[in-house]
Amino acid sequence: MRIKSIDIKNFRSYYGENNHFEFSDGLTLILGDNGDGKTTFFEALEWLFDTTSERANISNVSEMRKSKLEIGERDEVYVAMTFDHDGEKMVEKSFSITKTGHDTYSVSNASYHGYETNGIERESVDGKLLITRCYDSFIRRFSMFKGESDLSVFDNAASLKTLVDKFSDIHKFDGLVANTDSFEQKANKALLQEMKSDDKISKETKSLDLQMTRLSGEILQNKEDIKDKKDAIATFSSNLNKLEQCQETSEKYRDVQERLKTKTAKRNQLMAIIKRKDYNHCLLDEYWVLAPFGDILTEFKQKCAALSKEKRIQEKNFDKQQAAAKAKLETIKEIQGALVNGATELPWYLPNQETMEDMINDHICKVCGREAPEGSEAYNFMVHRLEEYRAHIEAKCEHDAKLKSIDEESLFKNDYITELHSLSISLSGPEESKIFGISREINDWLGLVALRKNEMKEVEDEIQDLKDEKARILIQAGNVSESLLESQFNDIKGWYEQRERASVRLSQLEDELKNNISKMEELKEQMNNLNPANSQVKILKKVHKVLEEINKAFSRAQKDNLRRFLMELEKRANEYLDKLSANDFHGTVRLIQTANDSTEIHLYSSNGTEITNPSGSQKTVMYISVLFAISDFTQEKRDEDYPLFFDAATSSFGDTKESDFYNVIDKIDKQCIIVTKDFITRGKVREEDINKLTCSVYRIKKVDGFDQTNMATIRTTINKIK
Amino acid sequence: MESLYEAWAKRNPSWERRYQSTVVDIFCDYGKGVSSFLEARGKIFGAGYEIFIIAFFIGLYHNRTKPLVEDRSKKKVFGQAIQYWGNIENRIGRTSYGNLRRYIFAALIAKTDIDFIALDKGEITLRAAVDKMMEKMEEYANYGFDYIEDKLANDPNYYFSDIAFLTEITDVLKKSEASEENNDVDDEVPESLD
Repeated sequence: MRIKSIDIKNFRSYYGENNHFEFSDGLTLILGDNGDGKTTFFEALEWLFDTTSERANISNVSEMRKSKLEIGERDEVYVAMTFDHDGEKMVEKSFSITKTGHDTYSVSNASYHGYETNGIERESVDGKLLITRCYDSFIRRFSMFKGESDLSVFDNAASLKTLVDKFSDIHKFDGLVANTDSFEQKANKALLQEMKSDDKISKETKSLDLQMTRLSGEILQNKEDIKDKKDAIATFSSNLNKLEQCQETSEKYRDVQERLKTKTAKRNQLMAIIKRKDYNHCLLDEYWVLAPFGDILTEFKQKCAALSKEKRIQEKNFDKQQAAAKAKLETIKEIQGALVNGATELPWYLPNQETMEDMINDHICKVCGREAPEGSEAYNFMVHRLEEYRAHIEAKCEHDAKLKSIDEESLFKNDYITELHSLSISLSGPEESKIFGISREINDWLGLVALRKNEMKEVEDEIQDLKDEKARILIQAGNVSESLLESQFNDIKGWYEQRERASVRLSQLEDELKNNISKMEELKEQMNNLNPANSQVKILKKVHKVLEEINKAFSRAQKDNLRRFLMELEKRANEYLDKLSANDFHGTVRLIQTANDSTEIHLYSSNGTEITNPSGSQKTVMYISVLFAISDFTQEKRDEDYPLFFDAATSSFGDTKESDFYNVIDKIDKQCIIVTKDFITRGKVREEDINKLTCSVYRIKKVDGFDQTNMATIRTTINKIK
Repeated sequence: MESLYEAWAKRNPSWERRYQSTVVDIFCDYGKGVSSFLEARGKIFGAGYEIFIIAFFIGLYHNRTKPLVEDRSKKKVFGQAIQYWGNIENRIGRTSYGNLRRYIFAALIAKTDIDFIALDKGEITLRAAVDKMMEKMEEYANYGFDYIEDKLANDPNYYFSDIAFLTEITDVLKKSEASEENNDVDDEVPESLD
């Protein structure tokens, strides 16, 4: 099959119907940058070839077309392919879309149309059948590849068997082997029957036949058991091999996990330190709000001290005034009078008031005994003396009251200044130094937090690095899951033990088989040595011998064929590997049969060392070589060729490898369609490199001026460069 | 005799009602009682008086006062008198800071113009002296509220950086240290900003 052209209408970014590709017999490159529609092209072909689904998917309709449809308007979506396969043929898969409301659409089921040219007439045929007939799903499995990982076709165990059945003559041998087997068994049966009926050897024959039947049952069982054990060993070995390859990865992974755990704990500790203090609460709870309070505290203390001093001064002055007044009062002394003869008078309180009142009332001086009638000088003297006495008493009372008043008088009625002064004193000393220390405390803490924050930034960077490392490890480990990397060591241990047990059992079984086979040979020999009476037995014996040999020959040929096919495939693959690798190291491909009839592709160095971890590009070239070889076989065995499609198959290639690869593939006589972003640098096609190639080249591109957020503005255009 | 401190601590300062929605409710659990779900509500402080204290110190350290509106209907008071401020031992993760009241009192004594000699002589009443202190206290806080409100108007998230209020305080400290250094260089007294 050779594809001549492909037309796409309204399929995703391929808006409208002017999306036409023509293909040469050799290489065709379709170049596009990210989002230009490369994968959409590939998926449009996949959709066309997928005959299992007829359901139309609205998401396959061009958003731009959808946005331009009027309500009630209808349009179609199709992918059509014109190709040569015993004459020109065309197949188209399509469905229609109708806009039913503001944002609602209805789609019809997808349908196939096919045409083929019969002589000069073009007749309509079932499109689905045409695809199945010309490009069935099996061929597609070995011819359409999306990304590099899709290339490893032999990962699926059934692949080789299918491949062999399709592309080699081996299956023709299956019938022959079965026939010769049946002939041999029939001849044997006839021979035994004849021998059993021979009187001379009947008894021995029956006995030997019984033994041989039992033994052949055992041998069959031995072989089945051996196959089972070999399968088991192969499975364990393959798993162990995979895990051993991952062992280093796993160790690295667990090391990274461990380091990640430690760093995360460290980060949490640092975070706890950083978040230990809530600065807003510290303002109050830890008195940080008082950091600038020093000046105010000083002002307060000074004010209190000044008030206290002022008060004391005022109090002192007041006290002085009081003392002076008191002293003044106390210095007023009574001057005592003198008697006529110059003698001093009695004090004023002698005689006392009672005595004097008594003498005045009795009109007599009871001191000298002389009478003192009223109005007499003596009487008047006594009256005067009594009046003086009374005046004295009054003056004394007045004096005492004055003294008491001076004593009781005070300047300050309240003691608030003392209270303030006491507070001031209590806020001095340790309290004061605490206030002055707050700013240092804050600075110290902020400094510590800044240090910890720096430390945390470093730890976070380290955590990010470890996460990146972990991601790299997981990427490199391929499909191996995180849980497998974590748990595989127990598995390895178990698998080793099981493989060991299986190996021991295998060796026992092989011995048993060997033993049984040799017993069987002996029995056969004994059987053979029986001397029958009947000559018919001798003839049948010879017939059986011939058929047995024929059967063996066919069986050997069947195995040889498979081996030869694989060797041929291997040889062809190595030729391609050599070509496609150009000047780069490439090693040798070996197709190795496994116990379960599958085949694995391995890469070896010429010195016999297996390259267990080939690079991405080595793997890709290796797989492509095998695929090209398979494609050659198809052409040879089925007398037909089919195109190979690759979408971004060379993404792991470096510049040199890429250029060498395309130079080689450009010259290979095989229809090959490669969709790639190679040859594009910063959105521009590297024309110089393209001009070195002879193949057809298309450039697909998003039309400029699209809205970055609106898919309905995206449309792919196709430009044939050469 | 009742002490000056006791007389002051029994009081409950007034603040302008308009700051309730623009400042107090934003930072405090005001009017919701004691809550251990402070963080869950995203509030920085607990009782309403806490932001009042912060506002007071902002006014104090900027040495700026702002008289309150005359209209009594436009003013309100907190649920707790000063004597209970800082007694928050029942709040999860917080420490009691009752001693801070003494420093607020000391600041008011330092900054309020009261003739304490006359007070001790009994020439002015205790009530009159405490009234003056309360007025000063309210005016400092009023300036602080205005200051915070102004910052929030420019950037509603300004104080939601964990260090923003602390920075207000440390900035004052830096300014005062810088001015001290300037004073050391030349003894010029900077002009008052008032």
